[in-house]
Amino acid sequence: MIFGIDKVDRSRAAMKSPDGRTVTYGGLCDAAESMKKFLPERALAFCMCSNTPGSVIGYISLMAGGAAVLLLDAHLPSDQFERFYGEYRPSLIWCPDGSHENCSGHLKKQLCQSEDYSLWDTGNPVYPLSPDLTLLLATSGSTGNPKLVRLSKLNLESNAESICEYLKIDENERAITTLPMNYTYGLSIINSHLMVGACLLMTPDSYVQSPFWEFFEQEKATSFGGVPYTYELLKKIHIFNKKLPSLHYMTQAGGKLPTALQIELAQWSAENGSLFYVMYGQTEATARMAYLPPQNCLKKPGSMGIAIPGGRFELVDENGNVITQHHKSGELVYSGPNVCLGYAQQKEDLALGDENHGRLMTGDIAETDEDDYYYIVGRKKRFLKLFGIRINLTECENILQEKYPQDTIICGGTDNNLKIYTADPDAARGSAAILADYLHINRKGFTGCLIDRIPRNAYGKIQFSSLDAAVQQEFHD
Amino acid sequence: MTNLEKYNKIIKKYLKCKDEELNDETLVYNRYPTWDSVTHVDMVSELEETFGVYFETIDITSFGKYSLGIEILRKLGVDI
Repeated sequence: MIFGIDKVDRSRAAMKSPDGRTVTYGGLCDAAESMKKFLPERALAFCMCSNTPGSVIGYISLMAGGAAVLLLDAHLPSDQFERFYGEYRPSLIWCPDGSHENCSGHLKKQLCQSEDYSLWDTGNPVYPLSPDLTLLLATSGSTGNPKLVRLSKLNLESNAESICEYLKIDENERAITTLPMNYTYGLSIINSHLMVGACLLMTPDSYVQSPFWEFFEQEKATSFGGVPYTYELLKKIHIFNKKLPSLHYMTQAGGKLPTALQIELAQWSAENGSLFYVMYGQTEATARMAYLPPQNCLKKPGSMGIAIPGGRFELVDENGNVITQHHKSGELVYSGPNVCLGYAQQKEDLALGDENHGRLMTGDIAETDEDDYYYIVGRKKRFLKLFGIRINLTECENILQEKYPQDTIICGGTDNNLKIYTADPDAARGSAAILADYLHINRKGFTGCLIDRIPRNAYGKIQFSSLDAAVQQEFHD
Repeated sequence: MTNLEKYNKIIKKYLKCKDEELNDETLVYNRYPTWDSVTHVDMVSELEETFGVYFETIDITSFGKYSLGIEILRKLGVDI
């Protein structure tokens, strides 16, 4: 069975929820077994995710029963759901009882039930799926773009195994959910814990509300993960003013953490007697590609670390040649068994085989230091030209962020008009002059854009496409 | 402006709600559409600034309904 779930002692707890319920590994295997008889040989299923045991039971049972599964947020607005449904025509939908308003029109026949979820037949016929295809994840969490990443069982299991190795996850760990299950990073925490027979503390509650922390303390959570914004919020609610005695470690991925916050979290962790892992990954690599060993977190601030066990990096210049010198930047290329099969844009693509052969062009620009630790310096597509000069937007953001650490600053725009988006009025007014000075470029090339707040999706990730709509006031020279 | 008026003004500004919605049946964290984690934390910051108080973690995380914010401010010594 996937992740070797059937090899774990049946009496061990796989999941606990705030209502006091426990699902054992034996219970998970039984649920998978009883669902199997309702599944066609090979079919596409949608799994409508929430951080509840029922959601995970469906995910595991569907994969174990031979289905290819697309994970979507159970609260996805119906217009976005329809875009996925219309493109991929699933034969099955696993969704929470009573709250499936967004897919209710498609639920033809109830097949089986577990916890507060049910499996429904949609009446759509099965169609050809690649034998390797096990899981599908959306490339953009919440915009409804139906582009998917195609993943195999080998992708999922090899990445979970690597994660267990470098995070030293054993059966005594108890991770609490802080990220959506349909988000690759949240899912990787679920997968890696199931792989070693550990326990997941499944809660749909937010960490800015008391029930989350009551559950955390009651079940003595040992770890959680967060995107940079998670840690900014946790800091704002003063979590790091106190100790969390049960905590073994925290992980961070999903974008670059401001260096000052990385140092602060590493220092807090040392005082707390826990570890802090900065990590790097993409959905296209199932989840994880790199981690910064926590003993080097303070020595190498700003680094994304080294490749995970079983993976390998190289840097490639614009002509495709491998870069061997340190401090010379190039596109980061990852090789490993967790590199996805490819993308899907339409249902016919689900029949495609492995197009990547274990090698992924990440689109990130990186360099190494003398110890071969990697540092992201930009994004391949995040450059524009000002009066003919190539400008690295990530570098601009870093410079401005140092001067204005209060609020997130985003650089964007088009050639000859670099826009600086921020909710900090001082930064909106002053940034153009700072960048003009630093880059020796006329101030006319820059516009400061004051926004109400940085638009973010459900994971806390920045929505670049919504920035212009949020602008309240522009500052030109 | 009374302290209650100041409080209501901040709530309305962040949750984008109407006067008649200023009650516990309507304004509940995560149920009222605009009351998400991001808004919650920003709203608490402005309450702290306006009333010159400091919300401990427990104050921030237990503020899950309209009236609970008033209760917490009272506990922190604000005459509201």
